[in-house]
Amino acid sequence: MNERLQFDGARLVFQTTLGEDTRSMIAWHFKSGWHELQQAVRLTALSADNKFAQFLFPVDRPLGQALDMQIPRPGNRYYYADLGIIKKVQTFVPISRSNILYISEDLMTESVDWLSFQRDHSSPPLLEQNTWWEFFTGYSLIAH
Amino acid sequence: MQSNVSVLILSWEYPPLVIGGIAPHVYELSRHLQAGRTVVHVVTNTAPGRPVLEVENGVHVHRVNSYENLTDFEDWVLQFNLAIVDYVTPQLSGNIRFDLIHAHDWLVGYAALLLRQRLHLPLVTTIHATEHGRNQGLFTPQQQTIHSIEHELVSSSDKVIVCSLHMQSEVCAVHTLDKQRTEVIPNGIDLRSLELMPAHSFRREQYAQNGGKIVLFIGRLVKEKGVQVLLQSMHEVLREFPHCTCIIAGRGPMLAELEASAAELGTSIRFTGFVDSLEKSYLLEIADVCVFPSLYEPFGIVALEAMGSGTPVIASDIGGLAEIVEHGRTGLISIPEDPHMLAGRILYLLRDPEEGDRLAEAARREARLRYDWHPIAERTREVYSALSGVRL
Repeated sequence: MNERLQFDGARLVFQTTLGEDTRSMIAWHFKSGWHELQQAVRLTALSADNKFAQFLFPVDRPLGQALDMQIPRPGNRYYYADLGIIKKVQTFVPISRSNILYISEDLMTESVDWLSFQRDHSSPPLLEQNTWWEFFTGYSLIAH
Repeated sequence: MQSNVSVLILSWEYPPLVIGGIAPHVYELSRHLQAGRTVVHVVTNTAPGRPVLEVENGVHVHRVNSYENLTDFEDWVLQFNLAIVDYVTPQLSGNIRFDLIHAHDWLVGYAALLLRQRLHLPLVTTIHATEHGRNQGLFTPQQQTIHSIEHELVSSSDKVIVCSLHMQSEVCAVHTLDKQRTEVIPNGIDLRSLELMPAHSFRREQYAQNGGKIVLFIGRLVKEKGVQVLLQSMHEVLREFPHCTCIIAGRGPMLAELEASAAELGTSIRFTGFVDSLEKSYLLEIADVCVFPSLYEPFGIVALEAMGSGTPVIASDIGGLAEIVEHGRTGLISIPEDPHMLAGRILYLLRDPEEGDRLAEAARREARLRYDWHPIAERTREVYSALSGVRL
């Protein structure tokens, strides 16, 4: 988890660069050259009124780029983004995940690592529903 | 001046997430290491109901969520390992100085290899079983892939720990590894966990017919454990002991097939499903004999637990089992995949309970003497010290 995801006041920007050691390992796993792999960034957003959205952005430069992601209504939302490999057109295999970025209504930002986020949000801050929490974070709130 | 050595242990399973033998092994090793001047951080898979970070028995346990629950197992392993690397660097390694990394099996291989490079640390790997050995060869693309990861991990490790002389030979042959790069350290058993708690609700009648003998198997229901051979042998056993019950305690992908095979033996075969440690202790207590008819067995930890419990043991003459059980002294040995010989061994012990008791008592002494976790953890710490340069 890292600060790959930033907000410049108008757009979300995701830094797709990976270290050579990681690229080699991922290419080895997929039995392919790194440049033959189709990369994409999947942005996950949770709004203040508890609505999910996911957006997929193709990556054009295999060795890394600062990917601009323009989205409607950035304020008062949580975001995280995954860099992934598109496999056989359909499957998105995440290979790197950003920290969680919160953008307030006045467009102030706060970046939080996943461990802190889970600790600080041990009870859902919005509605008392586990489903969005589990979807958003991957963690279950049962019996903490 | 003596110092603490700090180890980053990578394991895909850790209690309460228990799939096979790695979880209990890492759990016991970690807590016994921690008791003796070792700072232990275990990074493992998430488990329902458990926090991301906790300290248990002095061991720091970090549970990392994979990015996604992918259906493709190989892809799941990749992104789980990448999630581990993302967690360790910089969150964990930024705050803690590690002296070395200890990886358990190929499932954390990607993470171990990346972290070794990034953190510039020595790497110890324990190979609990090889993909080649599990399948008696490599026949599918997935098995080849797993073997490749395992090979890269073994080749890049500064030391490879194996649990038996048999595993040492196997790993060195399969991965063309110099024996000098390996260290044989047996698995241990926690003898306290074998002692049944005084209050429990188990009753013999739940498992077996009144007065009937009990033949017990405990383990995963996979081909390499040989349960199908035990079921074949029970035809012969039941002809002489018709009230005998064979209890199959465990779960696994072969359950349906084994239940179908056992159907003609009726209620003489009991499938219990997964048993926790308390129920396992009870079953070992009431069993007349515990059978391990494995076709492949790097070590045989459950056989060792049966020995430590004082239950007479019959084991296949294979792998680690052949090193643990001495025929005629601490148990009986049977040729793998020979149901007739296995039936003969079972009948021998059922006919002569005193002989079973004699073997069991010798086995119990042996288990306590040679497989206690304290000296095993100490030997592991010595490996850590030699690689990291930290004097203990």
